[in-house]
Amino acid sequence: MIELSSLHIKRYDSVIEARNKVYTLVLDLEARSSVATRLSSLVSEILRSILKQQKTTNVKLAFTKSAGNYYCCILISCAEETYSKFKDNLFFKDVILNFQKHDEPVLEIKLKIMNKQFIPNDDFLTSERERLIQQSGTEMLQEIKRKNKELSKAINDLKSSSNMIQTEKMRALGGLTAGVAHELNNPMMGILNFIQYAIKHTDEDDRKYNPLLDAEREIRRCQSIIDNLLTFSRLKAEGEENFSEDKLSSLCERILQLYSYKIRSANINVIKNFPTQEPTVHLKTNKFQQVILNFVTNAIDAMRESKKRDLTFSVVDCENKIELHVADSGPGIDEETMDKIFDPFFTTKETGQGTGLGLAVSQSIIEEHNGTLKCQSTLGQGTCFTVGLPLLNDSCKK
Amino acid sequence: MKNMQKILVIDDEEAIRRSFELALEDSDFSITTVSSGEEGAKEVENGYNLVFLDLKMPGMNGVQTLKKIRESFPDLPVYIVTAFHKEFLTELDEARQLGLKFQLLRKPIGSVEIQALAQCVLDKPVNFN
Ligand SMILES: Nc1ncnc2c1ncn2[C@@H]1O[C@H](COP(=O)(O)OP(=O)(O)OP(=O)(O)O)[C@@H](O)[C@H]1O
Ligand SMILES: [Mg+2]
Repeated sequence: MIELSSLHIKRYDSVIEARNKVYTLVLDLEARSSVATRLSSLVSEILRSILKQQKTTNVKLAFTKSAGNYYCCILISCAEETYSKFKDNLFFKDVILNFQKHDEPVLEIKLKIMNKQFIPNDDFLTSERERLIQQSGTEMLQEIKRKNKELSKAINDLKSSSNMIQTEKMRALGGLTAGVAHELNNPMMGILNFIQYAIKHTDEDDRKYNPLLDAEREIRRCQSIIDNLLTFSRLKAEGEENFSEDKLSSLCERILQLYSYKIRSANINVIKNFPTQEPTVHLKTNKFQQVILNFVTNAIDAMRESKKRDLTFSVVDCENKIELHVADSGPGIDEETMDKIFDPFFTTKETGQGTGLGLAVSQSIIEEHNGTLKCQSTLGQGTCFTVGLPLLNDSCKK
Repeated sequence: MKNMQKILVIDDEEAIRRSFELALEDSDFSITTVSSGEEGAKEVENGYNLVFLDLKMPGMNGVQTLKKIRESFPDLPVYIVTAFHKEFLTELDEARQLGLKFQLLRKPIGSVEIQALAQCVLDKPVNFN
């Protein structure tokens, strides 16, 4: 019935693999950027020390990498005596030693001496310095850019495989749910009929009569929970509804009319922001009304204790999609709860008041329409559910 | 007794067979129940006015049983009573395409519905297409 196949395990492995890859990349990137920082300070220190030694110096710096090590080659044109002095410069040695202490990519400094006199002016020094910085900078930058690209690709891989896992998980859960729901239908039909038989043969003034009616009502409730489960698992094949063209505002109006009594008796003020010109959308009307109805019942439940009880419906036409916002002025949803509201069977309502399937079912219905469902909430101010449906989209016209 | 309308229930679940029996207990119908497609296909030869047939059964399933029944009784009203098992959808479709007539009913069905259905079908034949 439910196949937690090797596919799931493979998917999971691939996520771990991608995660490890990202981790290695980050480490690599970190190492490189620390090398870069240290290099740039090293280079400027070297330059400063050389320039202190003598004015007549031609300095060239080459920045290379081979076999995983970074090499900074400093080519200095100077007199031989300057060189010998320079070679023994303690400060310079310190720098090298200091750098080699780290066990990350080793930096080597190669000095090459050319026996040539050269008197640089300030302009030359400035431009040379700039060129050096730029040259090493560009290389670093390119490296970093490339790594960044790899990193974002790995992150994308990670995201899409975690999405895949989520989908697989829901599918597995859906399969399990449908199986259980179907299996329950047979014994339920038995119970229903046995109870109805008992009712038929019990006098109304018999003390067993009312409990039997209660039992019948409760078994009907089980039935509707099972129905919900089947919709949620998308396997409910019976009466499979066709897509039709309708306006979101018309659907809202219908729900408002059907539940006007409930809304009025809960003392709720309905506000409607519908556009004058509204495109129709391609949807399964009944299923979609179920989505809206669940928003409404959730909002009514949420505003039970609220002073302000506004329920606002807005339809917004955003060119390639259309949005429906259903907002209430209830207590809002805290962060911890927010993470779970779309989970099947998550409810904060008392047992018997909610099954916690409303939003899970809504989400699967909206997915079937290639739409999106979002929830925004501010504590103490209210909650807004937003459904986005694609316009001019043929993919859902199956 | 002779002109009593006869109903056959084919279902592997005891609870379902009992449900039908209880629902139609004091009615003007005579009801027979069997627990497999094989038995059902045989029993139906004794002449019935209406059949309630389960879809998911060990051995011959509902669709196969329907095919068998239709060989001898092309017009006998048959209700396929099911909890909707997705795996049978294509078979059901196929059966329809073959021109086999049946109606689908979704479990659970209460006794009032069972009585109404039986009454309705046997009073005036409904279109089973
Ligand atoms: N408008 C809202 N304001 C505050 N909390 C909400 C709102 N809508 C949903 N929730 C929270 O999300 C939970 C899940 O909602 P959902 O509709 O999925 O299930 P339910 O309403 O509890 O039960 P069911 O809809 O199956 O009867 C609710 O129990 C509630 O805690
Ligand atoms: Mg709800």
